[in-house]
Amino acid sequence: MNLFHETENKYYELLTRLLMSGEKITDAFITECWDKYIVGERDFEIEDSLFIKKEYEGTVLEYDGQNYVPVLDASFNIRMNQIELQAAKNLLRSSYSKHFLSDSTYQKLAEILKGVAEEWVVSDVIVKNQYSDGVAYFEKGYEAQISIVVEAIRNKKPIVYDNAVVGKYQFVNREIFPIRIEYSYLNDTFRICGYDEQQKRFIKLNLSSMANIALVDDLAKDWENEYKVFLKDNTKKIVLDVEPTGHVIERCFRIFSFYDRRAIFSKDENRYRLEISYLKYDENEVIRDVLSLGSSVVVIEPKKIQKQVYDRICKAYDRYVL
Amino acid sequence: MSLGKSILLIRDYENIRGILRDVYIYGCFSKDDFVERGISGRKFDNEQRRINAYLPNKFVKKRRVNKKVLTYCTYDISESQRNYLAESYRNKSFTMLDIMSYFFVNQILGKEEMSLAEILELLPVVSDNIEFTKDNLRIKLDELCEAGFIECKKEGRNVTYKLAEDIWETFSDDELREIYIFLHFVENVSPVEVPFYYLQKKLKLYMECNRNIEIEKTPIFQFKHNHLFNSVDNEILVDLLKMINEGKLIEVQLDSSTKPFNVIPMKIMHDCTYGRQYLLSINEEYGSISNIRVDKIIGIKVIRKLSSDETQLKVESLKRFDYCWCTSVKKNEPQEVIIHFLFDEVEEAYILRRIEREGHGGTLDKIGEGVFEYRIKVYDPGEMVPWIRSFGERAKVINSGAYDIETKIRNDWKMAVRKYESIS
Repeated sequence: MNLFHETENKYYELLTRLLMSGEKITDAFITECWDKYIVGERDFEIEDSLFIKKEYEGTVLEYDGQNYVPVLDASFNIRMNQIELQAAKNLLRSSYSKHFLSDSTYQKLAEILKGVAEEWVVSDVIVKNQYSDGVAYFEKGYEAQISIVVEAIRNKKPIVYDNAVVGKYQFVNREIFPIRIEYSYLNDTFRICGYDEQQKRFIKLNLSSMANIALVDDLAKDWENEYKVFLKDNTKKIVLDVEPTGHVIERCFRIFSFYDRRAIFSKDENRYRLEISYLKYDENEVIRDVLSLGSSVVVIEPKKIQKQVYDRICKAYDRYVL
Repeated sequence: MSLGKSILLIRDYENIRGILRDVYIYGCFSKDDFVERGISGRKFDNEQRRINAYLPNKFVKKRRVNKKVLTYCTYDISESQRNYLAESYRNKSFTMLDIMSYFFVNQILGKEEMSLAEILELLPVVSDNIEFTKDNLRIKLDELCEAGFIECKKEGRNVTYKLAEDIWETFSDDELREIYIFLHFVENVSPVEVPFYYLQKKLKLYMECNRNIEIEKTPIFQFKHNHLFNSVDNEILVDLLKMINEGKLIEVQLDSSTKPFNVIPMKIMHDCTYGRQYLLSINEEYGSISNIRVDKIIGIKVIRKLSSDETQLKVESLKRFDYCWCTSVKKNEPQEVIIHFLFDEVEEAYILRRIEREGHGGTLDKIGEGVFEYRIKVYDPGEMVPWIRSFGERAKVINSGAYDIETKIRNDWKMAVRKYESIS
C-alpha cells in the first residue's frame, strides 16, 4: 500500500462524517461539515460529483427531494488501514512513548497490534546532531506530569508545582496556567509555557526541573488571546544577506525554516535577502546560527545585532592571528 | 459526474513535491524563476493553484515584490501543532468506483462475512454510469484487502471477506485521548511524519463519530527546530524504510537526466540541524559507501533480496559511521580534532553545558582558567566547521591534521570581517 493513497483523501473523511452524523444531511449541513473539516479551497467539481440531486445519479448518498440519505441502510464502520496500523506499531517503538502513554495503554496497544507485521521501523532512521542527554534517553517517563499538564491546558485550569535547580533557585508550591508544552527537536527537551498570575507575566519552565505537579480545581481562565498578543509584542526581526551559492542558501534557509520569514531573491543583484521574525528570548540562538554560517551570511538589520556580530567575528579572527 | 474534471486532486505526489518544498523553504521564487529552472509555465500555474487549494489560507500566502508574485508559507509557533504540509497528502485523486466500493463494501460487511457473489448481490445500483461487475468488484476487494480494511479468508475454492477488527474497541475514552495526544506530538517530530498524521486524523474521526468524544481545538504543543518540509519526501522515505527492513537491493533514480544505479540501502540518517535526510547505502558497482539525499531521489525500485555476503557487508559498513560528525565517511583513518574553548566559567557557564550536549561525546579537559580542551576523532573535520563557528570567539581550532580546518575558519572570519566593514 502506497503512502499517497486515495482512502486517506479528505473527501473520504467528509463522507464518513456525513454518514455517521445521525443528522439530516441537507445542503446547509454539508456546507457546515465542509467548512469545519475540509482544509483548503472548496472544489466545486468534487462537490458536484459527490452530491448529486438527479435521479439515478447517486453516489454513497442519494437525494430524496429534501435531503441526502445513505444509499445503504447500514452503518459505516471506521477501520484503520495498513499505513495507520504501521504507524500505531511504530508508536510502540518510539523512545517518547514513556512520556505520553501509561503502562496499561502501552501494553494494551502492544497486545492489540501483536499480529501486525512490521513493514518499516522508524528505528532505521538514525537521528544525528540532536543534543545528548535529551528526554528520548531518559529512563523515567514524564507521562504522569505531561498528562496533568495536558489536562490543565485542555480545561484551561492552573497547576501547582515546585521548581528547583540545585545551587540556582528553588520555588515551592507555585501556580501557573499552562498554555503550551514546547518541545525543541534539537535540544530534545520539554518546556511548559504558561501564565503566572502572581508575577503577572508569561513564563517558560523546564519540565525536567519541575516536581510535585498537581492540577488545581480552580476557576478556568483562558489566556490564549493574551498569549498570542504576548508573542506578537515580543517578536523581533533580523534581516540577513545570504551569499548566492547553492549549498549556502540551502543551509541558511533550512536552519531558519521554523521561524516565520520572508525572503527576496534579486536576480539582477544576484542576492538573497532573508527577513526572520523571532521571539526576543531566542536572540542568542539566532546569533549563534548566523555565526555558524560564517562569512556567507551578513546581518543587515538591526544595526545593534550587526555590530554585536561584527565584534564577535573580529574577536574570533583575532584568536587565530594574534 | 465530473470527478475527473477536478484539477485540484493530485494523481502523483511527485508532481507537487519539488515546488511545494521550494515554496515552504524559500518562498522567494516567482513563476519566471521556476520556468528558468525547467518547470513549464503551465505546470507551475497548475501546481500553484493546487498549493492554494490544499493548504489553508492562513498558512500559504502571496505577496508582490518588484512586480512578481511570490507564494510563501507562514510559520506561527503558537499554531505549530498543525502539520499543514502533511495535509497535502490527503488530496490523492480517486474514481467513483474507488469511493463507492470503499463505503458500500464496508457497510455490507459490517454485519457478516460474505463471498464476492453475496456482496455483488447486495451492491446497490445508484447510477447509470457506475456498474459493479464480478471483475471490477474482485479488483476492488483485493485492493481493500491489501489496504487492510477487510480480510480475505480462503477455504478450498471458497473465498469469503470480512471487515477488519476494530482495534480501538477495547480502549477507554481516556486511553484513546492519551494516544491521540501522543500522535499530535509524533506527527510533528518524527523523521517520518505523514503515517502518524494519517493515524491521528483517523483516530480523531473515530473518537468523534464512534464515541462522541469532544476534542478541543486548543493546541497542546508548540514546536521548535522541527523541519516540517521533510513531510514532502515521506512517500519515498517510507518506501526506502520498507526496503531496508526487507533487506533488498534497490535501484535509485535521482533525476530524469541521470542513469539509475543500484545500492544496498543501510539506514536513513536525519540531520537535526538542517533537516536533511540521507540514504546511507553501498554502491553495488563500486562497493563504496554512498550517501544519497532523500529529497533528490525521484524513484526507487526493488531489484532483488540481498545475499548473505551483502547483508554482512551492510552490518560492517555501518560501523564506519561511528566516526562521522554527520554523514561523511572517508577511506583513511579518523582524524583527531583539537579545539580550545575559551570563556568565563562563571558568567558563561552555559557554554560548558553546550559543548557537553553538542560535542558528540568528544573529551573535554580543563587546561587553564577559562580554557577547556576538546578532542574528538572524526572522518571529516570539515563537517564540524559550522558547529565550531557557532561559538564565535569562544572556540579556536588547534589541530585538525591534513584537513587544516583552522586555516579555513581563519580565512572565513577574515572574509566576514571584510564584508561587514564594506557595508558599514
